[in-house]
Amino acid sequence: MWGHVSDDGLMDLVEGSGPAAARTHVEACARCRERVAAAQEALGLAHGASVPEPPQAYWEAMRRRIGRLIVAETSRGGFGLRPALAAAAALVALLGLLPVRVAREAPRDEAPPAWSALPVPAEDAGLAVLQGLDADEDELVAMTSRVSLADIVSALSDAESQDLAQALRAELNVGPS
Amino acid sequence: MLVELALDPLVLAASAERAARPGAVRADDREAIAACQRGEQEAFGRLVERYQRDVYRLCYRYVNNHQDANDMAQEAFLKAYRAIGRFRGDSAFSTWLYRIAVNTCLNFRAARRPDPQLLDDSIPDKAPHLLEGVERDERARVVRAAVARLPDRQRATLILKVYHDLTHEEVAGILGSSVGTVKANLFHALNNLRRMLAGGALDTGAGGR
Repeated sequence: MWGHVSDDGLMDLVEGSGPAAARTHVEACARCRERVAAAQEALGLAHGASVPEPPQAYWEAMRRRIGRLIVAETSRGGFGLRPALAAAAALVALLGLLPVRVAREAPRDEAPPAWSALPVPAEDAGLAVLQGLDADEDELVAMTSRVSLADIVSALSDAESQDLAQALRAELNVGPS
Repeated sequence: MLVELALDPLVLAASAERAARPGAVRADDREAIAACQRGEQEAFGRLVERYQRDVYRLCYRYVNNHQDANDMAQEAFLKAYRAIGRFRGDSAFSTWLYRIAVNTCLNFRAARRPDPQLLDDSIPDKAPHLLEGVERDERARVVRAAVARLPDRQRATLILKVYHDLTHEEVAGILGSSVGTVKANLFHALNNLRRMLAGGALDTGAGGR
């Protein structure tokens, strides 16, 4: 008489293999049949649970970080392979094809975000532009207190306005209105 | 127990290769490994590039968040680099690397208590039709959280078999167990997964060797 199928035998059935005798038993045994069905259902759900995929920049940053850590350990004699000079040369080779647009290093202890649309700071040329546009407090005050051209023209006297109009006509070679 | 395996990379390397299959190393891996063993550090970058996604995904499924997965993946590659001088090529490099990654994750979890709030909020109290009607992304999140709550050995078996498409023999080699035990652990893992998603309690089952 066939007893219940073992757990590893049931797993074979879940995956579509296993001896005919085991399949025959499961067809006749409600308990084993339920266990196989439950495992198949869970397997289907498990297959659908994908991992959020980080952007390409994350993978590049990971490689650079691992490279830096390896060089750092080698320099301290941690790996006992090549001298520090060769390790530094290896790091240059590892990073050689990656353009560095901004002379700034990313923070060592900060993991690159998995889903950020922005490049890491060391490769973000836009960041340098934004920082170059930063105005200090005095500059901001000066900008907000500056009068506009309209303010200046509206403050002219009649005589000054006529002189200005004459000068503009002469500049533009336009006759008197 | 997996947690009791020595963390010494040399021991990891030796134990992984005991369960090895001869001639299983890819030719391009073999070349990069040999270069690393000669001291050419940049060659390890090629191995990182080739396996970083798989290692990250394995770690993510184990710890279920990006920050820890990032840390674990990075640590796994560093351990692999430290031990690469002892890699003899008797097993596939990926098998050896996965073993290091799994052990790294196991020891990480052993050192850190799980966040009870995270666990409690991740699983619905009742999922009468196993997440029917739940949006795909939310369903994936719930399933990932449930996988992360499985007992260590069941979780490792399920992750390696289902998400990395390894054979039972390869999983057995990584986890240091028999093929029959791998199948049994996987079966228990799936049943526990279903039980959790239906709002039930875990059955630790025969998660032994």
